[in-house]
Amino acid sequence: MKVGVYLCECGTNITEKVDLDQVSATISELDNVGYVSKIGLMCSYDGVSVFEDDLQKQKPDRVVVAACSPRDHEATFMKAMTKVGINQYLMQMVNFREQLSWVTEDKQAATDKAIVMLKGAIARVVQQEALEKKSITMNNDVLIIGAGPAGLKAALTLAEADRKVTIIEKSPMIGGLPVRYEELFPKMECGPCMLEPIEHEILHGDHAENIEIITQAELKEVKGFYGNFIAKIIKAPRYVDTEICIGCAECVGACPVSVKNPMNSNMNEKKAMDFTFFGALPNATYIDYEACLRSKGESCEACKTACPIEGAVIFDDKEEIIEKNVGAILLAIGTQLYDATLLPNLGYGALKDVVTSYEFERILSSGGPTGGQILKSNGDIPKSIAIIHCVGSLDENHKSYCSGTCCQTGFKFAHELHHKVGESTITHFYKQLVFPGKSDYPLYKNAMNNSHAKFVNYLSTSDINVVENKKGVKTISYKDVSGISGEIEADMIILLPATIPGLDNESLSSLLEVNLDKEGFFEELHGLVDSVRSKVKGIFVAGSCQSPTDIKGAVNQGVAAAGYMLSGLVPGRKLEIEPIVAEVIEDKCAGCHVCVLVCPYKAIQFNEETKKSSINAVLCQGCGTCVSACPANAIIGHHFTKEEIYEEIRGVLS
Amino acid sequence: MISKNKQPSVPDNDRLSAIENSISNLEQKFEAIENGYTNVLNVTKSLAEKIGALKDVLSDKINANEERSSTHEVSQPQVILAPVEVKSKQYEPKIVGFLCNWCSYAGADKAGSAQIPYPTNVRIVKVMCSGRIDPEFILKAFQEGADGVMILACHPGDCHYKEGNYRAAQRYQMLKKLLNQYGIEQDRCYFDYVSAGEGEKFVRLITETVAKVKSLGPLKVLVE
Amino acid sequence: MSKKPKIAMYWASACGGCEVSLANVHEVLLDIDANFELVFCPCLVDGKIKDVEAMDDGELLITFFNGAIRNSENEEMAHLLRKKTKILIAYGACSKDGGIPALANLSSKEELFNTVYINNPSIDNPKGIIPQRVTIVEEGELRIPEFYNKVKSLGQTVDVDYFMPGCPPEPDQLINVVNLVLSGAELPPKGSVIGVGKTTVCEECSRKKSDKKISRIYRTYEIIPDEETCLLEQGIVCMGIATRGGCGGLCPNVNMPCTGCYGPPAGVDDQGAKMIGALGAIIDIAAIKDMPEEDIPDYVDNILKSIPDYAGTFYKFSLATALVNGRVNK
Ligand SMILES: Cc1cc2nc3c(=O)[nH]c(=O)nc-3n(C[C@H](O)[C@H](O)[C@H](O)COP(=O)(O)OP(=O)(O)OC[C@H]3O[C@@H](n4cnc5c(N)ncnc54)[C@H](O)[C@@H]3O)c2cc1C
Ligand code: FES
Repeated sequence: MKVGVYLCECGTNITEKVDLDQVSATISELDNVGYVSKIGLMCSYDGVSVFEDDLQKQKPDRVVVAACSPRDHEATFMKAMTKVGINQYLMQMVNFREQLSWVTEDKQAATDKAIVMLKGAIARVVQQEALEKKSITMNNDVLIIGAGPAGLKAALTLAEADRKVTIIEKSPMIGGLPVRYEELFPKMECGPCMLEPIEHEILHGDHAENIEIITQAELKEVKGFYGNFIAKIIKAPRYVDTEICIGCAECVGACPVSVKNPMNSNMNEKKAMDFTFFGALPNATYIDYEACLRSKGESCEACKTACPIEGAVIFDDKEEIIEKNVGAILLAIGTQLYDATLLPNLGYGALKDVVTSYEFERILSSGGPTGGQILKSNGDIPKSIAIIHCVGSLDENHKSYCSGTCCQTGFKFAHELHHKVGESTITHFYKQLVFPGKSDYPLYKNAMNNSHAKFVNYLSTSDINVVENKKGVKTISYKDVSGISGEIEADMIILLPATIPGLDNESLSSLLEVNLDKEGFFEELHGLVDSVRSKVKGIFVAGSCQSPTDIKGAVNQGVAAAGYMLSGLVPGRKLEIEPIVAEVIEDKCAGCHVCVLVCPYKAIQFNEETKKSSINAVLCQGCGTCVSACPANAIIGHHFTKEEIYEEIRGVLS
Repeated sequence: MISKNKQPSVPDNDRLSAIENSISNLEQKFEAIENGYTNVLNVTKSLAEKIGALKDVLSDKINANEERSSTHEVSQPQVILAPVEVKSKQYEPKIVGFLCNWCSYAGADKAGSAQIPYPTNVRIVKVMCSGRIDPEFILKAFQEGADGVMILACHPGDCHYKEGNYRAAQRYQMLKKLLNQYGIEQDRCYFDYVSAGEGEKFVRLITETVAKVKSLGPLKVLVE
Repeated sequence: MSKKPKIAMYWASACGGCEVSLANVHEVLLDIDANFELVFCPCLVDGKIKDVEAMDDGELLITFFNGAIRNSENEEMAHLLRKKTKILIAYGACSKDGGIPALANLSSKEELFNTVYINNPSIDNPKGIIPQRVTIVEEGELRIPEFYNKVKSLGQTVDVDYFMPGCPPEPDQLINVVNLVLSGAELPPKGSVIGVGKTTVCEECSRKKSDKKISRIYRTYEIIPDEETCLLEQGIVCMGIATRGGCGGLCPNVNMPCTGCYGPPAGVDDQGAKMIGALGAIIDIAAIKDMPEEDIPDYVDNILKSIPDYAGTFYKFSLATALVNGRVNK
């Protein structure tokens, strides 16, 4: 075997401390060393071409490059090897600069260490094998779960680039939470007005044919991996054909059954045949089957009779199972609010007119229970209102984090209250106030400047107690941060509970094998530089299901995820599989199952028929943890094989 | 306290005490560095003392041995003494350092960029993740003549592959106990976390480990 | 004189279990006798060393050499039998990997003698006399074999043709090997491990296995294991994962954890290292994930406290050929 050893002088960075002539003389004598060449500045344009020419002339079987850190220029030299037709994995770099010349004072000591380092690399490189990058075809379509702002913007971005997108949405409508809000912070824009254009673009825009929306649908099963997922979707029956329904609401009027309206937190009623709310898209009604008389065996056909469109109401609509082949999946399923009844001293659930932020949003909404008027449950206009921030947040016994959006929501409410019930007093109870960024301050200032507003800084929700007297007057007694106690009366109390993971994070986590963080949000690959990728390749996360965020954050994440999918799923391009991965040698696998859970990327599968493990090279990231976990040495860690490392150990100790 | 229109702000006292805290933190760090320095001095001193003491013990034993070999009945297991050569050149231990690619190797590079010198005894074997460090590698290193082994991983939570370092840490706890049964001192197999930014920590760990292994002397794993 | 090929079975530092495994082939013994002449087997038939010495080199077709090399006599016999044998088989765990005798490598010779001859409640030796190689008595000199510092395997002493692990090897495997030789078929390459399964004990163990994550380790007396589930999954240190198959999963199939007598699987140098690699990986990491790094060691130690003796557990049968084969020399 002919090993070519290249010593880079790195200007004088290496030669100053390492006697390369002495190194060269010693190394030349070693077994397998074909030749030793010195190059002035190997990474420079000239240096690389000298390297290439020399490789072409010498045709070594293996190459060792002693230069700077492989973290600097390994890729440069690998490329050069590929260029001259030598497999790039037949090279080993030795870190003569960062780990030798720059950190050693004595020249002879450095030279001795240089020789030892080279011995290790030469012994190792002899063992190295040529590795080939494999590639497989990829499906470029995308599945998006959740039709909130994050999911919708991602879908649009993808559709505009001609990717086929399927969105599945659990509820009968799209738009997520914000379409249910009258106004949106920070600029107090009208929620539906801002989101509807996006929804229309999705439903009827230039690229709408690339988007399929399946409402009342949930993911049931997923097989496969990045580039080749097969998703099974269950779609519940709507009993109304959204394609032909014209949204005239004749059926709603005709329906004889009224039930509590969950969209408005049961604060009013709706019909069994109804819209989710007026203006919800797709603009079609749906039947709440459990409430419908037909589910109780009756033969009511009131809605069908009232409907002017033949076939729009479908009584025998059935649950459907839809299968989709996609290359990537985006999770954008949003959040829910912390259960305020867990803080009983605040009176939620027990006292009237103690409402959560979501409920108050619906009160503010023109489609809400009061048609947008701020009214107490008895129909009076509240005179004094308390807004309790940080409910369940910043509290080790509940949620230790700050949800980041509640302050703005509180200030938004203050703004609305000022406009709608100008004279009422507003007391903000808060632990911390946050208003970061360039747009959030004005609303805060507005709330502060309200001459009817007061601010109380409290430490813990246990310092706040809400009681109601017989006349229905609510008193809030409290202790503030400085220990001073006080009491105020309030007609209406709005709680701003923490944003917490949605209902389905857990089930989707186990279905897709995507991790949850310790709070239960979908765990990102990296909090700073990769917050929209999960740890499972090809499964992305966006919006408040990953971490509490405002609409801007959710939308940005959706678009970022779309960016990843666009750059990863390119029509005509194949998926390159890194060859530095682990591989099970089937004959040696005893089927002990030790490796399976060791893989953080779920790349290891156990085949119950053959009773052997196998590793999906697409999912494997090459860490090698399973390799050293396999008690039978039945897993090879390519490029970091036992033989290679053993030889390196032997080499550096010789 | 209901303060009307009062803008909540961090009281200046808090900031002052924060500054005070960081000053005292810095002071502690200086002290630690000073301590480290005196520690090294102490180790050197105690080493010199130990060598002296060893010499005495040896000559005592040699004498005792001569006496004993003149009597016929041996009642005590015999202590076999190898001839002790006083080497002119200082003993330089060979240490193999297994480093993961992402944090600890980068930490070593950081020390390089900062040009902080450290002893040449550690030979680095890079793997992608500390999770790849097979206990076989460590035993192999000892078998091949290493006097010490270092395993450096990313800090918990920082592993590029999420979990490799936890598994490495669990393995190390077992390995340590096994090595103890072999009579391989704990200082000869060192595990720690080094991040890509901790060039100085890397240098400190290398320097300390080399000093400790040096004071333990050569290790012989014999088939004899 | 019979024309039948000659075979021998010798025990060096061993317990005799290997001879029992020969007896345990039952009626096949008659077939063996019909085809071979057992000329030397101190445990079962009368034969003298001088008879062996008188043989031509290679006169013995097969020697099943069991037992480790503990002393100079073992070593001499290993050399002698090597010379006289065509196919030398290291038979049994002790011969192949040092076996239980090699656990003595964790102690120095002095410590061993002290425990065996001096400091032990059942010993009455006021003068502290320990065996001497040479003792002078009136009649002359008495010599006993030299007790070595370390136990070695047969392969570390002489050139071995095949290795047959097990404590003792399964009689069926012995029959397989004998049949193979008799069949005249081509023998496996020299140095092969024969009479074994394809992978590890797990492949032969009939217990139900699933993905492994354990949060506590139990000693066998601490728990009554479920009879169907993999013992390791129940927190019992079963060596089956890191042990060569061939026994048919005898121990786990009767609710006892494998103790590793067939030695490391093919391609593994060190059974204990592999056990540490695997156990360290399957101990649940959930708890240490959110722990300050300085708390991790104690937490893990607490899980591990039910493994009192690592070397004794992980190298019960293979210490002599492990990467570090015993206490290091000081
Ligand atoms: C009271 C309140 C007021 C707020 N006001 C503002 C504001 O004024 N301005 C602002 O910027 N932000 C505001 N926010 C924050 C804002 O609501 C979020 O940033 C935004 O909703 C996040 O969008 P998303 O797409 O991530 O999730 P969501 O809007 O929650 O959408 C998620 C969608 O996924 C669907 N889904 C859930 N589970 C499944 C499943 N298993 N399968 C399929 N589909 C599923 C849901 O039905 C929903 O349609 C407010 C939040 C609250 C709580
Ligand atoms: S990558 Fe550093 S420990 Fe895993």
